Amino acid sequence: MLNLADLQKQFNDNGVIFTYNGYLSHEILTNIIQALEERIGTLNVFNQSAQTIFTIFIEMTQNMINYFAGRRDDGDKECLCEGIIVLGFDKEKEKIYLKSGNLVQPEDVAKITERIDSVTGLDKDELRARFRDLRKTGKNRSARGAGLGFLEIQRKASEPINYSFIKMENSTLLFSLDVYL
Amino acid sequence: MEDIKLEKTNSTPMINTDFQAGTVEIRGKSYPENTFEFYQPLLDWVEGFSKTAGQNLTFTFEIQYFNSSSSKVFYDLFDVLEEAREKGKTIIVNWEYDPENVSAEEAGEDFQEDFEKLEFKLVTKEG
Repeated sequence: MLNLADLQKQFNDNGVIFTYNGYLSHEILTNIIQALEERIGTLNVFNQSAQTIFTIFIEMTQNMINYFAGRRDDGDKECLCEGIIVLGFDKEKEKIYLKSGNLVQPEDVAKITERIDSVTGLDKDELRARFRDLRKTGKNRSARGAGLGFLEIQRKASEPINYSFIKMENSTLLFSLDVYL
Repeated sequence: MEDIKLEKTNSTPMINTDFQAGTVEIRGKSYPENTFEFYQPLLDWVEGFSKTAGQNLTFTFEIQYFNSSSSKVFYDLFDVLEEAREKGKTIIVNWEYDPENVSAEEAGEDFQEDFEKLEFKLVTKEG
């Protein structure tokens, strides 16, 4: 039985500000962003950290939504977009963090790994140059997007993004992404 | 040419084109569900505009934040605008942003660098 006191303690110990688990759609994303804007963005005064949170949140969630949309295109029509997102404040590092998790198939691991590994070792200037080059050439482009998501996330993060693939039942994997602002 | 009049939504900007006046305004946030689909009519409009004789164009962007695919689309838009400029039209791009919005400022600077042939102005707006 879910114990709310334990759950709340875990959230508080880890500085969780907002979390969502379940079905993801564009509509749900826009609603979440609106709610977050009220919660952490102030209306009349511009807040750079809030902007960065929103943009990374959007990139991570749209990555998940597009991943599942791509799978449906590939024939897995029943495939529903589900994921988990956590926004929090790491008290030790004194940094805002965003984590996302979604199930992926083993055959997708190589591409995701390659995409992320190609950006985590670059410095700010290299990231900017790479972004501008890929944007210009459209090399990573697909039907759904420009293929610049991880690059954009790494540009806005304050340290190399971290990821892992966690084995779940029936040979699916949970792709987990950690971003520190 | 038919003008585009789109109202702003939570994830897409308002778009207002005026062929007669030679103006385009884009204001709001940009993270559409399918970014390429959303901006295709605007790209078509700009391509159509660039093929007409004589007209000059003032393009105003005021985008609070945008996803990475929007960044690609804006790049493609400026590409078409630069071609129109090479055909002899006067094209002005006003990239408006809140002075505290560092990301918007940097994005504007990047575009300005990439498109030196365009008259690309960075304009700060209070409030």
